[in-house]
Amino acid sequence: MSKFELKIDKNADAAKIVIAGTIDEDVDFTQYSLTGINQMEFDLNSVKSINSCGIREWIKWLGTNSKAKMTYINCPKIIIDQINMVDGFLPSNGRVLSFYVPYYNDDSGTEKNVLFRHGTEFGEAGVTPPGKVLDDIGNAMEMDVIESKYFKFLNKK
Amino acid sequence: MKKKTFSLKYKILLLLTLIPSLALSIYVFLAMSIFSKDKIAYIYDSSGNLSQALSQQLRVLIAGVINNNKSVFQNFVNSRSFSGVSSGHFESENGVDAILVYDVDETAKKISFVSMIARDKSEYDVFRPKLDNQVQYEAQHIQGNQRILYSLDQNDKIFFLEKTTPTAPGQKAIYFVVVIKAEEFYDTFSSSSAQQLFLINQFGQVVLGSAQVSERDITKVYDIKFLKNKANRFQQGVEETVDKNKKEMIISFADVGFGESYVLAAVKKDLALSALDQLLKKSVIFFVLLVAIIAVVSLFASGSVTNALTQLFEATQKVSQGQFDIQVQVKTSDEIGVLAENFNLMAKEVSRLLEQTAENARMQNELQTAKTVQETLFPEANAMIEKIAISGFYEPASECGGDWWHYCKINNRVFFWIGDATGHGAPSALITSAAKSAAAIIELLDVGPSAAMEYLNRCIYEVSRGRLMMTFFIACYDPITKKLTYANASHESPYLIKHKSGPVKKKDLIPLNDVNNPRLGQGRSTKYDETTVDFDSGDFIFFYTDGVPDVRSASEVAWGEREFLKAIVETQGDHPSVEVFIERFVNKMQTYRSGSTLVDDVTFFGIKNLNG
Repeated sequence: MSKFELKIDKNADAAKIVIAGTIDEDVDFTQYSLTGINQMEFDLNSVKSINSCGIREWIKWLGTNSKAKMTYINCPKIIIDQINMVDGFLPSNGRVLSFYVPYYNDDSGTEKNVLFRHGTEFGEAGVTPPGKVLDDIGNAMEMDVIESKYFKFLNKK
Repeated sequence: MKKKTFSLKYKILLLLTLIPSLALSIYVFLAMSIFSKDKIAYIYDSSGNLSQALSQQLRVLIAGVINNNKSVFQNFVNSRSFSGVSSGHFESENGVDAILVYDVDETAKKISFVSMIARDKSEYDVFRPKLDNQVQYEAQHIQGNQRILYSLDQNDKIFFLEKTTPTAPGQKAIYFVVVIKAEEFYDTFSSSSAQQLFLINQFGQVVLGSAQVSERDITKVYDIKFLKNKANRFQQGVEETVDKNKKEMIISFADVGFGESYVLAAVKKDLALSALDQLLKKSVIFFVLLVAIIAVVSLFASGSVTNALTQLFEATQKVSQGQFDIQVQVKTSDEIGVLAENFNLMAKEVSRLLEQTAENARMQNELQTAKTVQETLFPEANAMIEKIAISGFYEPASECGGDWWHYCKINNRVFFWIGDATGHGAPSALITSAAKSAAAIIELLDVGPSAAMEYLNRCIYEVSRGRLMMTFFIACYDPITKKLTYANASHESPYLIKHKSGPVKKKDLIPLNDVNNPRLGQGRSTKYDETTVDFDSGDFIFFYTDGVPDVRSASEVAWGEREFLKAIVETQGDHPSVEVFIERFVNKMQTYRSGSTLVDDVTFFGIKNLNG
């Protein structure tokens, strides 16, 4: 199991928080105070897994400073799944600025995660996927999610 | 358990006393032997020195007497009387008590008293007969100028004969009897001490001697070898002999250098070696005391060692009888103390493990009971209500699970419930139990999914107080409107597959995710939305918990959403009955799983509308 790591880079009332590893019941978020931070950016690129107990602790932790503006960047699929499924995992005043979308080629079995960025691949008007996604050997890849489920969180705003 | 025979305590005691006792015995024997030899050598040396010193002093005394009185003798030979000068010289010479003069016809062996000078002449009138006899004896038996010392038997008075040789044939010889007053020597010889001192003449007669010995013939007192044979008469020496009572004696002798007279120093051997006896006795007492001390110390030492071992022995006996709640009280910090401490730790650990095993067994029994009870919370796996075919599957990751699913009919509507408590196991099972209880009450009310969800949330919140939560999905089918109303509390969205001809594809999966609200138990008064979809004849809905896509293969690889969705699509491909679908899906999942342990509870069920 990946070791949990959290780094907070504070700059005045803003902070960039980088999280890696597994978020579960063993993670003690209380040691990382969010008090006094008005703008938080969570880089979740290296989060490997999260379970139901981890979700509970995460929501409780963010609730300690619910007034702050929060943005999630580089969200892997497991984070997007939780955002879609668990109400409150992305606070009401939070936004996702970038997230990965898994692509797959059924013939070659190759996989690829494509980063969707706010203002480029998605925005207020909806999702604008890249025209063509190819794997390393040039095979065309398909989106490996049910779009109506995976992009559901974008409709919340 | 083997019984002990000869106690270790006595073995140690025996060892600790036997070895020092043996060593001490050898030491005492060797020390006594060396000391005895050394002591005898010392006695030989000191006794010899004493006899030699006395003999030298006597020689000086007698030589002095002779030298000092030569002029007196010569004067008398010339004048046949003691002149005034001779008398004056005699008076000034304290060493001589009397000089008696005899004419001796050595041929006829006749003597005649001539004259004398003496300190007390009347005294010598009394002594005369003895002196006459002695002069007569010498005239008859002693040839030449051989000088012999005699005792006058008057304490300190000894005498010898100084002879003059006749100057012409037929002339008589003059014998001077010189009586010496040897006061100092008398005191020395007669005083009682450890050493008995004797001055003897060549016949073995005692001239001066210890007052303790009345016998005047020394050969009758001691069996002295050097007197028996003249060849053995060395100037000085020491010999061991016996007295008349057969007591061992050490006798040293020294030649006085005057008429074969000797000074003897005799000492009883046992008296001489009394110090040795004392030493031996004290050594024995010391030895006994030391052994006793060693024995007592050994007793304590062996006791301190064996007491701990005895405690350990008794403790192991109790352990062998199944009694583990024991502690050995050993306070030493040596190896035995450490052993006892380790034993205590071991006994404590075994005791703890036994208690834990008993506790585990009790908990296992309780969990088994809980599992049995929880199984009653679940409905029959297959059912048909209002022409809605239902089929489900449930497998907990441990004895009790945190998943729960349910269906029921309320006022002609069919309700479907599925939930997943935080984590899994007994705590989660308690929450599912609370959910089931709440559902049983809610079933009595005529409410929709959102209201039902709010009641459920209130119940879960009150039970867990935010510590445990539950995702939940409630759907309600109304056979009149053929619509399905649902509310979601952050649960995995079920997939709706509309009836169609031809194979089912991934894009045919419609997630029921139009509404979503916080998990049950997250807030006390959370409001839940509900929405409605068409659920027409032949439509199929698959409900599941997140444990299903998280099923692991034997190599610990999760099934994953892609394969999970693929399994749904493939299984539903020919639009089978819901029972067949579930059966096929279970097979696919179990094939992938290959008997590996579940990491989370697995629950899923399908419903199919069979209303025409």
